[in-house]
Amino acid sequence: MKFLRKIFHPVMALIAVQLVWITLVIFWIYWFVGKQREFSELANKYSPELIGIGYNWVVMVEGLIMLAVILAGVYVIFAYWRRQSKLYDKQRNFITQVTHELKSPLASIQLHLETIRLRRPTGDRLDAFVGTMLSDTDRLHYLMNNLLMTARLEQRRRPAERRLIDASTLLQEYVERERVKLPQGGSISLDVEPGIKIQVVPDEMGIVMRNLFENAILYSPGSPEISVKLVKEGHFVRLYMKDKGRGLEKNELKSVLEKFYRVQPAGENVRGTGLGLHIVQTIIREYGGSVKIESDGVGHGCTVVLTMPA
Amino acid sequence: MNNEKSNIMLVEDEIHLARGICFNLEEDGYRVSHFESGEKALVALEVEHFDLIILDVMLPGINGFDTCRAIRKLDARVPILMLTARSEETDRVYGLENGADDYLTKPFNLVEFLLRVKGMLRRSSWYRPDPIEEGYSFGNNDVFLLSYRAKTAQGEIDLTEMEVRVLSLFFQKESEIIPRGELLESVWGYTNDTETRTLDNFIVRLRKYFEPDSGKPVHFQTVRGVGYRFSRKG
Repeated sequence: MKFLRKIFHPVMALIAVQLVWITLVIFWIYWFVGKQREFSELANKYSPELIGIGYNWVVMVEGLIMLAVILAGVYVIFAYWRRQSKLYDKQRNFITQVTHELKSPLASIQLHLETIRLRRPTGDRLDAFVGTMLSDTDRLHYLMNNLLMTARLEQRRRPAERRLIDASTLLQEYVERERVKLPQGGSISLDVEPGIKIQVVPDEMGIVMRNLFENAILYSPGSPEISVKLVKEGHFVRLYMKDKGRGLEKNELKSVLEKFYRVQPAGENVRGTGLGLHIVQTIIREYGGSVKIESDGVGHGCTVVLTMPA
Repeated sequence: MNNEKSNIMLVEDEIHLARGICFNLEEDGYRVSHFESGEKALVALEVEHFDLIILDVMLPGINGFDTCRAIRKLDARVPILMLTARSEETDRVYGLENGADDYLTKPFNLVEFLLRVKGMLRRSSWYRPDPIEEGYSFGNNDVFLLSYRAKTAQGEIDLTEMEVRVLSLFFQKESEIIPRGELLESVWGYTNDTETRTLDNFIVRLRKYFEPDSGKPVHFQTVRGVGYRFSRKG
């Protein structure tokens, strides 16, 4: 069965068709040249004036060009089909991934609600359950936001209304909130130049920050160590977010910004949807800025640099 | 009921879910050890005995299916309950093929979960009222229920706790039609048959072990709409 499937794989089929095509063309040229020779011999024998100018060659060349054009067309269609089928695979993968991402917090909420109904806990125990459920709803909220944001960014015709905000204060507030939620042993160091102002949509900036922290934490095995720096450099505001996580291969540095792209370390299973950095990049680009990822390779952590006009 | 507490291993990386499950199992009087990854679970399994393993499929590091296979190498008998967020049929079959004995799809119902845990923990001797001959042979197979072994055409295999339970029921009721409900009730401890395909996939596994041609079963026959029938001759 596997052998049969291999034979009928589109790439194999394409190669086979090409081989058949080339053989046919060679036969055709061979036959054409043979007939041509026969004809000229005959003509030589009976009436030499029949051989005029060699129009027949023009016909052959024309035929060959036409075949070549068809071949080129087939190649183009094939290339596009490959791209489509890859995208389709990615999207299908995305749906399974999103389903899983949504089901986990949902399963936790259901479990805790049923536990409350079954066991009737009181006091601290009940508080702990409610706290767990609330952080699950927070997680669901974040996922929904990412999904909605992706759709909104794609369909948006005119840019959303921006406001001039104090980025330094916003970042400080955000980091303080994030610090509380950090896994055990994790740390965030903060270095912010005061009074930096940027033109942004505050909600969108929140989503950008959330996604950057999410990545830094998820891809740091053990306890995450994150350092955040906000500086003004000339006409630009730069945000550096550095983690000591697993880092990235050189060839992954660009791909991670693609929609649905997910870093899948061999034998590891990191949750996520492949939307985070894509959203970050789309938003920052709308503000006229850029996103750059730097890493010295796997095991050396990585740094995300957001550059925005001041 | 037996006095000693049953020792349950929980392998789950979602910390919220794990805490909730641990709490409920402890409330029901079980002892629970929680592990966040398959690797850690396997290390623990080398030194400690567990009566039941609850295993998540999506784990960091080696996934639940691979963990399940590795567990089977260390302990061929222990009942394994798989938890999966994916509800596709192929995933379920894959889990059962890799040695799991039952599965639940997340999000699951707490009462049903506890019922299944209870069912899987029942000692095998309870539902084996009559002593059964040690070596039970049919076709090219010899099954040794008490020592959890079987000699099949493909070689010698170890049987899991759940496999032994199913087989012993089949052997007791040779040539009789056993309704699905009865099989589920006496082996897994629940009768709610609306959602689960566990039983059918389990039979597929048995056929793979014991049938000369698992596509055309002669020993483990399906009785359409009712259940299954075991026949020694084929």
